[in-house]
Amino acid sequence: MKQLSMMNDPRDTAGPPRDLMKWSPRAATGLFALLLVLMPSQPLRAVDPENCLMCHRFRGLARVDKQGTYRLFYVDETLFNRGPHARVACTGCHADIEKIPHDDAKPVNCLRDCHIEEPTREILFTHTKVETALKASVHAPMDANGVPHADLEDFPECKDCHDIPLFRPISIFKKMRAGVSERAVNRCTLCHTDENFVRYFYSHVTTRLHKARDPREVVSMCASCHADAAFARRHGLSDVVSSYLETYHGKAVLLGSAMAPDCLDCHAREDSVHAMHSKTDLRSSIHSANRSATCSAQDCHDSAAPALASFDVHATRNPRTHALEFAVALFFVLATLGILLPILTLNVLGLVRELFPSRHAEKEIERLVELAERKAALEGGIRRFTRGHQIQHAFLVILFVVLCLTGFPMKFPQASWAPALYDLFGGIHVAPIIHRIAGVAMLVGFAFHVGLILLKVRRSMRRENRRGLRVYLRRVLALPMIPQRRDLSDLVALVKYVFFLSPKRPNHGRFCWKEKLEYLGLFWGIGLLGVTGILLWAESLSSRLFPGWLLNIAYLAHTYESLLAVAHITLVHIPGILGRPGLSPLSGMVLSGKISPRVLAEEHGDELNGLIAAQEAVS
Amino acid sequence: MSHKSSLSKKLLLALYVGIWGVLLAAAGAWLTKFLVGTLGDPLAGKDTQLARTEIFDSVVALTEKKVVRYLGEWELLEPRLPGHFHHIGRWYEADKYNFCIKCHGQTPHSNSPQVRAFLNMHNLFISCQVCHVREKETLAPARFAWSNIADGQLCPSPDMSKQLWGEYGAKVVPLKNSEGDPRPVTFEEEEAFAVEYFKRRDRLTDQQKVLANEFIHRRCIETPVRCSDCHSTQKAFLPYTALGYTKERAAFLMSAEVADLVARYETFHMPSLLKPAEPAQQEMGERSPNDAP
Repeated sequence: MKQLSMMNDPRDTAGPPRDLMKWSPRAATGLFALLLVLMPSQPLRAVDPENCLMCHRFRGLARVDKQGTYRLFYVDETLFNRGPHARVACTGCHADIEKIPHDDAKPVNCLRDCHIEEPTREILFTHTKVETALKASVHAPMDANGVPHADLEDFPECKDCHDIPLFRPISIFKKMRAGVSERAVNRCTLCHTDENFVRYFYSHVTTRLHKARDPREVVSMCASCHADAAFARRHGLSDVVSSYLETYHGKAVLLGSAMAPDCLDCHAREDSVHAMHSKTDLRSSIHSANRSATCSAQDCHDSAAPALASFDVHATRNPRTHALEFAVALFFVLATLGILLPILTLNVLGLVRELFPSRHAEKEIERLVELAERKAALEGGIRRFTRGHQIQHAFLVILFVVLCLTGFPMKFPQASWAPALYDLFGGIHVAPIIHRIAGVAMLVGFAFHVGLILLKVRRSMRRENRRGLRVYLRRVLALPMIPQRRDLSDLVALVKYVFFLSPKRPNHGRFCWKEKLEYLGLFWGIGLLGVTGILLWAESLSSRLFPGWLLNIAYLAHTYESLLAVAHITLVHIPGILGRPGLSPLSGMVLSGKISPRVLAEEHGDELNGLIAAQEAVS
Repeated sequence: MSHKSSLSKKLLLALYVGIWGVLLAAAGAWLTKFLVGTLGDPLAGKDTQLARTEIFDSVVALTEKKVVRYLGEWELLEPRLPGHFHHIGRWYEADKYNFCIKCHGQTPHSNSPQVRAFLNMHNLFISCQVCHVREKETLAPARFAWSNIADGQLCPSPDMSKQLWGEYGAKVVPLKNSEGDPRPVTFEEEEAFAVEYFKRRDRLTDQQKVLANEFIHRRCIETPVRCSDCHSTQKAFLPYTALGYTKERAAFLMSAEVADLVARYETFHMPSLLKPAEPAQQEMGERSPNDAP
């Protein structure tokens, strides 16, 4: 037998843990004769003394049963040998098979004693303790009195949550990385001469030093039942999966973080993961009495205040269960659509009106273009933005793009492009940091911009020897970017024009109502995104100042406002540059600081009139 | 000239305005739908019934659904087979050419409970025609070769030692024609008939269907090749070494151990396969629509 196990075949890619087979007396007596009969020319594997793989290594070993179920009897030997069951012979689980040819195997009883010994006590290994934990858990098919629950088939059996486990070894030296540490193996094999055993042992132990299953697999496993709407309704549960995936926890898991908490981290913290209880059960880690300890556990939010526990991980936007969240979401949805849709409609209608301009508008534009071209020819171009404006705009553009690229994979983590985009920024462990740095830079930059403007007002007052807060405020409110009553009349005039109700196309001043709206939007957007971003970032600190549920609101505000900002930039601001006939593909204004005479004439006719008048007055 | 240029300018402008108008309107509509969709109970919109395609998948089993195992150093993406405990890794490469498989599928055997999986396993590398078809003039074809499962062309013997068990990208097929011009046994007439049959099936009477079925299977023999015909210590139906099997493997396939195992199956289980008309030997009601003849 030993000799046979040493035979190599190029198809057997994974080295099995040789010399580790354990013979139970039953197997030895029942199968010895068969072994003699079945001795093949292909090598036997130590883990397969009965040589079941002689047949079961063929991928086509399958049939369709009378229920129409495809039954596959193939066992991938390579994968089998990469998990903790590699040491268990086939008959260790399929114990009812005692002869070959064998009849249909009975379902495996995972609670039976295995043919391997539990090394610390030299007794046969068994999963019975799992059963004990499971029986007392929320997943037990029977209640404490032994009465079966309704919808019994919904309660999980072993195979509903588990397929055969695979090792996820890690190597911990100066850094932690995935895989077996050859350095450690080399040290162990100095004394423990069987390398297969060493590798098995190493993989087994290090798999247990971290999460034995990737959080994505755990979430997917729980979702197989809990994301099923019919299942949730039968058991009176809410949509716990999609609500979890809306949190940073869930998003980080989807984007590949092995450190982000999956379902088990919160719902089965201390004991076996099988000892999971209802949130109304005092034993549960998410019971209201235990939740704060669960949140502030070591390696989680360990510096958080108990208030963090009021953060609802499974908050939805269902008005019946989460009225506040619904109201906030509704506000942002209405705000986004209320701002964007009318502007989009005006823009589209404005484009259509470009096709059928009124005679009055055509004449007026022709006149203004002539003036603007003359002015541009005289001055070598018409400057609209100073170098300072250009730098600030470039700074804003770069930060906005970085924030979008690092934020949107987090907003849509299930999208196929999200992980690839995130990887460009270093993945889940680096991209959020870049996002936060860019956010802080945006806040600082915006504060600098506002400070600069206020300082300019102050200086102009000093130059004119004017003082007083009232004057100062009046000056600030008179700044060209601040909306005036005239903007409303311009808007009304534009609506009339695009709806063919008036032939008069409004001539705007230095900044039109749309630009002013965008500018004010920056104050709202940067402020809101900055504040909510910081609250979410410093969640432990936030919990010392505010209740945890405020983070639910902060998350909603952050996510909806970011969408509003991006939608506005992509649907209103950029098409405003790209979508203007005669300007494509891009206006060079932000690079050169100079505005084209036609754009000045079409968009800022009154500014042009003012400039010409001023020029004439000077001359 | 000026009028022409003005017209072309107008057309260009109209195109430009049209494109932007459609893009912006579509984006606005999508945004509205998306934002409104974020409100309310996420479960409310979910269909609680299995989608028709899901039922179809669960019945035919060869589902496209896959599951990922994240193992740190590597990721295992494998087909999802509900209730299957062992890892599959991947599906085998399907036979895209064989005429029989087009109707009977990759797992055609279902008659005999104990051996049907074995027979299906052989389907990986042995074509149906080897066991189920004889040319009338030569009842025992002794000539076989390998044929590519992608296009049905004859190909050299695969190097079985370097490939996964039974997955050679080729199948053993019986040959026709002379030694100098060997061709796989083909079914041009039957194939053409089958195509026509499927087109007109709904309009045929039951009797016509039976006749058509008989025509399609007219070259199938009543008693297919038995397991012991190949796994025998005396003489094998298939010329193993000529087909590229190593001497050791050929000897193993014809060894007393394997022959004895096969004999045990034949003794205890095969009668039901060899006499499919005797229901007492079978699991009643297990015959599926894709049963091999």
